[in-house]
Amino acid sequence: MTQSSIERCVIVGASLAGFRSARELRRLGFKGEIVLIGEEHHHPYQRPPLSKQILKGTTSKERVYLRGTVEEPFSLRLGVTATSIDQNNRVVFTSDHEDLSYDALIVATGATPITPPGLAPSTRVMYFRTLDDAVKLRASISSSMRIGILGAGFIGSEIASSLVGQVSDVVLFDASPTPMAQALGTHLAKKLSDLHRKMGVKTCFGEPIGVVETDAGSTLIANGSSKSYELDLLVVGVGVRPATNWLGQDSGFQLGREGALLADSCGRIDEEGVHFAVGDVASWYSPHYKKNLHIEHFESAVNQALNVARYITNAEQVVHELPFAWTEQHGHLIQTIGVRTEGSEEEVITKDAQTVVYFHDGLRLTGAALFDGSEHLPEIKSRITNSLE
Amino acid sequence: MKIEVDFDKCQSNAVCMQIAPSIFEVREDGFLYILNESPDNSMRSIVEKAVASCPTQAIKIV
Ligand SMILES: Cc1cc2nc3c(=O)[nH]c(=O)nc-3n(C[C@H](O)[C@H](O)[C@H](O)COP(=O)(O)OP(=O)(O)OC[C@H]3O[C@@H](n4cnc5c(N)ncnc54)[C@H](O)[C@@H]3O)c2cc1C
Ligand code: SF4
Repeated sequence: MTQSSIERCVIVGASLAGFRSARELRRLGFKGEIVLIGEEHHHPYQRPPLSKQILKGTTSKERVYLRGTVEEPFSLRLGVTATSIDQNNRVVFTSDHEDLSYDALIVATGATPITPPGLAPSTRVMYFRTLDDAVKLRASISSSMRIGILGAGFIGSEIASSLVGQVSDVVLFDASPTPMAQALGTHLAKKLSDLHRKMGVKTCFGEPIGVVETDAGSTLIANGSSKSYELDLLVVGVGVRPATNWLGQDSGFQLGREGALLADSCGRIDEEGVHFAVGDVASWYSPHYKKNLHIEHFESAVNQALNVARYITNAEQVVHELPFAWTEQHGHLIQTIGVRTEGSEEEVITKDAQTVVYFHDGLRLTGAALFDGSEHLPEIKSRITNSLE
Repeated sequence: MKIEVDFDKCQSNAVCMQIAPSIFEVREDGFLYILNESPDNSMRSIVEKAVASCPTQAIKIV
């Protein structure tokens, strides 16, 4: 499909990846109509501050909205859910029944939190993905509260680090003995666990947790195998699942192991180049790693959005960057560049307060994790890129 | 040399401002402002340091 034959491009999901796709299409001179459909009522916003500045109370809700002006506007239909598509006739069906035909469709529906089986819904259990979730959690905390966080991945760990000191107890639960090891390797995962404890977070790692509500519903009891914890609120962060259900079971689009839409290195999810996927919902083919990668971080969502716009308009070359992510915990900056493959060897370099861990897979350097070592990033990036060539 | 910042990525943590205060300023309103988008080449090494140190990699030299 060439850009001149695209009269209407519909983008489903009005968050980071969707909004940036629309903006870039316009910036690169796309002439057709662009319609952006988003389930949330808010103007598109960024999620990283939700578990950091919003929970700490150091930024306002308004500060998180995505910026940037567009020369030629696009229509933004907020509070509208895409309910399904008819791929052959190229129509998106929507909750407000104003169905839309398209010549190009960009799926940017992100991901939604996984609900652990066996955890009953309760007013004392909440999930954390949206601005509304963050504002609600921020408004509900008080200094006497005992808060449990189920899942010590990026988001659970950040929530713990933002809440500790503001409430009476923060307990971080994870079934794995060294949470975050998959992304950070064992050395930094252990350093982070120690840091949590040093800063006053109670950790309960390596044990399955059962959660029950008291009869009166006033408290939750989280039962580990060795100890029980009384909680006023449990925040669940056990991972997310790409939001593809609305496309229907037999859409014909291929899904990867994690349930993300398998895309080629330009974001196409079909043969014709009519359907694309970007952001947390997608798993793009990476020419660096010669396989599809499902990345759930800010940088990839933006890069993919820019690349899809480049591909559709044919105005610029697609650029393949290494995966990059950052997280801030207890005042420290942790970044990852490239990927850590399972079973890779760790080379740990520590200098003063900085640590860099290199991940070697045989002869290849596939990735690295940096603890307060940002200034080394450009040099590490080129080392990884060279090693992968 | 021209400086470009991805303002969606920028978290206003002022790391760049500590390195190059004549170029970057995070104001009371919580937003980052670029005071000089095209500094001359004598500033290159200091700008490169800011680019590398930005936690979210929001700054680019184009
Ligand atoms: C709390 C939090 C903190 C984070 N911090 C960091 C960080 O520090 N560093 C980092 O690199 N990354 C971070 N991330 C990850 C980053 O925010 C995501 O990778 C990014 O938001 C992905 O963007 P997206 O547009 O693909 O998906 P999303 O942001 O999930 O947006 C998808 C949008 O699509 C909408 N939608 C879904 N289904 C439909 C439908 N059927 N119809 C219409 N609309 C629909 C959703 O409501 C949502 O608004 C964080 C994420 C969270 C949740
Ligand atoms: S260092 Fe980066 S994130 Fe921080 S204020 Fe500067 S541009 Fe923004």
